[in-house]
Amino acid sequence: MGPIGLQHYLVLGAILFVLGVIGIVSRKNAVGILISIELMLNAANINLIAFSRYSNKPIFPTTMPEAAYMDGQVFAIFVIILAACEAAVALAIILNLFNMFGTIEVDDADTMRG
Amino acid sequence: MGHYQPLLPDLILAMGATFILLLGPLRDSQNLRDFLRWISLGLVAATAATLVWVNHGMATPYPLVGEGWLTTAPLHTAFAVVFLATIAWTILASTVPDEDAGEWYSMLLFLGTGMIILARAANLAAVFLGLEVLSISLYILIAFRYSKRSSLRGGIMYLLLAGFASGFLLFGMALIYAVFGTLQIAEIRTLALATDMGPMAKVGFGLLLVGVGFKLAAVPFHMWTPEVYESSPGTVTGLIASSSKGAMLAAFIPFLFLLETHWSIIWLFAALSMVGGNLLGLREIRVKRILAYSSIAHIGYVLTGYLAGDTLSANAAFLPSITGVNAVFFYVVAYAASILGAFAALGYIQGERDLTLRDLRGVGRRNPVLAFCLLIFVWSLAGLPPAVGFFGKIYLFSAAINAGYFWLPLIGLLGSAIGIYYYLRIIVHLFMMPADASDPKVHASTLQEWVMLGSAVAVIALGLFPETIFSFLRAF
Amino acid sequence: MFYNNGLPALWLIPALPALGALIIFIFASRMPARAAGIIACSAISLSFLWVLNVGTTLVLGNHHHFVEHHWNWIAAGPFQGSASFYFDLVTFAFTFVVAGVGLLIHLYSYSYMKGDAGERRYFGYFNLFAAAMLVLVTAENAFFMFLGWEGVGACSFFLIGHWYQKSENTVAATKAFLVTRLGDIFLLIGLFLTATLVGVSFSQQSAWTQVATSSFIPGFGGLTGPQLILITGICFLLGAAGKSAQVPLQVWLPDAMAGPTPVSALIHAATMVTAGVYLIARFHILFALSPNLMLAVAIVGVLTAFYGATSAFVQTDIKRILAYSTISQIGYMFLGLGVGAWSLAVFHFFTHAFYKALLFMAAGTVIHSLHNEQNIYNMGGLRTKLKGTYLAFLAGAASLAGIPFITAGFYSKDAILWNTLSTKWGSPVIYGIAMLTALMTAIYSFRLIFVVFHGTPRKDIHVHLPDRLLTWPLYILAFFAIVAGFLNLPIVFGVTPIWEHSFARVFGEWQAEPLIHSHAVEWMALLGSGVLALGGAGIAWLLYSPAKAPMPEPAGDIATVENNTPAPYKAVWANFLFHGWKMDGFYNKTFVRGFRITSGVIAWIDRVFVDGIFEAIQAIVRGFHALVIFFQNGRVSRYAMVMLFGAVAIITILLIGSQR
Repeated sequence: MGPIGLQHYLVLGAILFVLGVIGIVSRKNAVGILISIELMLNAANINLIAFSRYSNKPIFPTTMPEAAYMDGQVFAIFVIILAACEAAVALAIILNLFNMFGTIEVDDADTMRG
Repeated sequence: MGHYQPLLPDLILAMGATFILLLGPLRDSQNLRDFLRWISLGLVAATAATLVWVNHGMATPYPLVGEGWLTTAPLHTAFAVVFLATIAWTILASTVPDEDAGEWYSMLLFLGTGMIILARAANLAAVFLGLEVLSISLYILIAFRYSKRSSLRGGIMYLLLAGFASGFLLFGMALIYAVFGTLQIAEIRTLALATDMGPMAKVGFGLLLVGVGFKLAAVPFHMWTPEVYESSPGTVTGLIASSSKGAMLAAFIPFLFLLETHWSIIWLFAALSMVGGNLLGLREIRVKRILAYSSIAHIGYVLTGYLAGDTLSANAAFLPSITGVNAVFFYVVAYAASILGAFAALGYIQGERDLTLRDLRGVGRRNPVLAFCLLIFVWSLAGLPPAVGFFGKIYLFSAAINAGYFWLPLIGLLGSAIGIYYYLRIIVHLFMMPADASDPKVHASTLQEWVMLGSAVAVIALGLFPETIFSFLRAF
Repeated sequence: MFYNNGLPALWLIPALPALGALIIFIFASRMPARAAGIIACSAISLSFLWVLNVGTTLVLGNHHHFVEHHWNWIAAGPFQGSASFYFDLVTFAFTFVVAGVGLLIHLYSYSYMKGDAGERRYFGYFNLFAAAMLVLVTAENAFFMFLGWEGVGACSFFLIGHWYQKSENTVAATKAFLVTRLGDIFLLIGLFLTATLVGVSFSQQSAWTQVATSSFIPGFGGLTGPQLILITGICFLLGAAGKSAQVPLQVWLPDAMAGPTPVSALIHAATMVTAGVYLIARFHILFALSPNLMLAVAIVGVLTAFYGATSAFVQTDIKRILAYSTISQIGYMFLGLGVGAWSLAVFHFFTHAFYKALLFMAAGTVIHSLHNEQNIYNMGGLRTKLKGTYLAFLAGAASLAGIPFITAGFYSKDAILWNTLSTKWGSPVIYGIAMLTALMTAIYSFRLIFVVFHGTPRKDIHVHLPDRLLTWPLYILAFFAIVAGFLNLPIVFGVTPIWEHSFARVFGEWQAEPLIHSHAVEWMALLGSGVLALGGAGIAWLLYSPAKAPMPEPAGDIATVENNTPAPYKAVWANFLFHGWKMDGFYNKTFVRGFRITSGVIAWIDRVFVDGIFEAIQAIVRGFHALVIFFQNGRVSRYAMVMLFGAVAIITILLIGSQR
């Protein structure tokens, strides 16, 4: 066991991603699926930040070298904000669904269909 | 400021959308809806004008602006203007209850913002930003009639599945970033073409393609289309089918270098979509679903054109010599002109529950103008001359044949022959079936009828003068 | 605007009926129903007058052709199509029929469709059809022609389904549209090849000769010029077969009789279904360059002629008899094309348009007078009640049968038969089948005459007499059905065949020259086909003559016709008792049963193979549909699962395959 490095973050990201995928495929609860989506997005975020932090120099000399190191981290902030927006809209819709049907199971075949 | 000046169009539209959202609650004003409609229209026009203005004289290949955020390449700008036009069309054609007008128009403008960002994105982060802005506005628009159960269900289904796809897309982007150390698409392109791609890059691009495939509703990522198309308001369905997919198509152009290594995936997408879409539609009786399935097939046709790439092939001895991307541009315009009108027209016709073919009976007599327009739109979707859809297909398939693909255009031709069957069924039910006891209910205002008639004329006119679309493209 | 450099403008020809259609459709709800007919008739008559104007200018001025360019429709690389018009003798023949016969049918419709609920819609589409058909035949290039080609298909679709309240009619309309579309796909492929190889303009077609001699053409994957010509020609042939109801795409035409009778007369007899003939005549250089292609056209033609005649022989619905007869006669036109007798194929189109439109309209008058009775065995004895119609029908049937020397059908059909025997592309075998078909044609033509018009009425039906607009167009057509033949008298009569002579200007060296120059042989062939026609009429008299046999009991409606069909054959037996059983047995076994077996076999082939193929395609399509719809069940998690599989599949393909 060496010091915590890039590999560890990558493995963590991959695990989170797979957990998210499994959650979406297996869950029927709308909020559960939403949480799984957040997991997937955050798995990507971890990767983005880790790469941004650990790649000391860009492989390719970009046109704006000073910004290149920060790219991944800035992207992660974008993702966090957008995920928050998405969650807000999702929760609003789910709330309405609950008010109307008294359930947030999205897989009720006969109600979801048609 | 000079450096950020090219971001002005996006800024105007986003600020305007926020402004209209704030105006929305002034519900005591009687004519608020009309006022908001025209002001939104003005904002879209201003954005388009600014877009053309800031890009004027910047037509070097892929010049990057705003810290490498967006591109000002002519094709992408042209795409953005087309998408703004579809937004403007929807603002005119949609029916909104008075009390929700502010939210409705504001969301349409946000949708437009997402589209023009996505269409001109030069950076992975911009692709994601544009895509999400577009998608979030769409979730709201799909679920807009929140008192209807089907509407809410369509919204949540699209949201969850799109979120799933976004997860794939973003993870793919992260992997690409890891391999190439940059988010700039142009730089990724140079690096990817210069070096041998490792497995990580391949997985990254593969995940990216999952996200793209979902947005385009290419088989096997098409499953959401029938439910979502069915439950959305008619005009919104048109936007989902036309410009929201179109924006993704435009964003994909810089990634066309992937054809070098990943062409088989695109080929499969195209073939499966053309076959699957046309087969799925055959026995459907709910009209919006028929068009939903047909839109899957149409994406297959478009991807066929994309396989031809952005260069003119050397053996272009055959058919119109046209690059794949230009053919795709043509098709996006042609398809948008037809499908927007078709879905809007269906939106004006009320069905018992879901709109079925049976509900179309008698519309030809009840509202001949609307029925005639619908006929023209469906005619164009079926790809029959002289409507513009016919040329769209010709250009796409000839581009693909020029690039050396023979089977795919053949599948496309056979697929569209199958497809004519269900388009014809719509026409048969519109005009050639006796109406049931009750008269069909059709609600369209005079303005809406004029808008429909205008686009029907446009569909035919563009078919008679297809060169116009290329002249438009060359003007940028 | 109406004259360019002293030459009459061509755009007016299709524009006038298009304008009529536009007016009718725009003001439909605000005009009396009868006004639609008046507008439609005026539009088509103006167009006809203009055709005459242009045509006489062409003929008297001794021009080869007129061209009129309007705008560039589509221009991308070799793919050039312009909205331009072209007018030569072939165009004149077709426009004359489309506008002229079209005018008569419009007038007829004005009376026939009186009081119909969809009268305005009917005339709107009728005018639109005329416009599209005129675009088809006046277009300067194949691409613009395709616009008209699709336009007539659409109008045909709407008019077959005119009485859409009956669902069979819409099914028939859809079937017609889909089958012709199948041909259109091939036509489009042919058009693309043409556009690339020589250009779509009709004046560029001589460039095919260069294609024929080149062994390598870049961009076609190593195909040689002759191979490309063969592929293009087969595509055109399939496109033409779809539109003209030729084997193997003939199945739609009999069903298309679901439309009003004038529609059958104009679209499914005189004009639209001959578009395939026009197409091949326009591309005659392409076809003439490949002997295999010519043989294919000839075989398709003769098979269709035979098929149509045998099928017509056992039908009992008067319109279906005429429909099969149309299929058969267009088969003769294709045969004419296939042996290189281009001008004679056009000539047969010309005469056929008159007598077949006449037969349809006369049949329409009969049907109309008997309150929509279509079974011929429920008719009979109409000779005295509908005297004018009878005479007109007789002229038409005589022309169809090819009664020698006095009918147009004789001269046009015999000329094709003679070319089948005598030119380098012809063959004695094909000639033999064509002659046999001619005999059958005569028999079924006169069967119609004897069963429908002779004898005593089978049913006590009240006949209401047709008015003048229902009869005068018949008389005019009857006149042409007799005299049009004199435009091309055989050379053995010692006169110049005017038609062939004039059209030599268009078809030039590609026109097939007879290899047999003996006048005696030609006389024999001529008399032979004359004898066949008269003999056929005689056989029909023996088989169906009511004068020699008591009338059978009235037959039921068409649905039960199969049971009733043998009745007249029994009557023949009774009649010939006097001559002994042997003769009856002979007739019954050789002719009647022989024909019935042959047509039974053909019907079986039709059912098992042709329909079978279509059904198999349908079944396959349905199976796939069931498979794909299985996953479409509205469950988010199922959808997500499919997406996941898709993602895994993509990544697997990427990692395993495409190693650069």
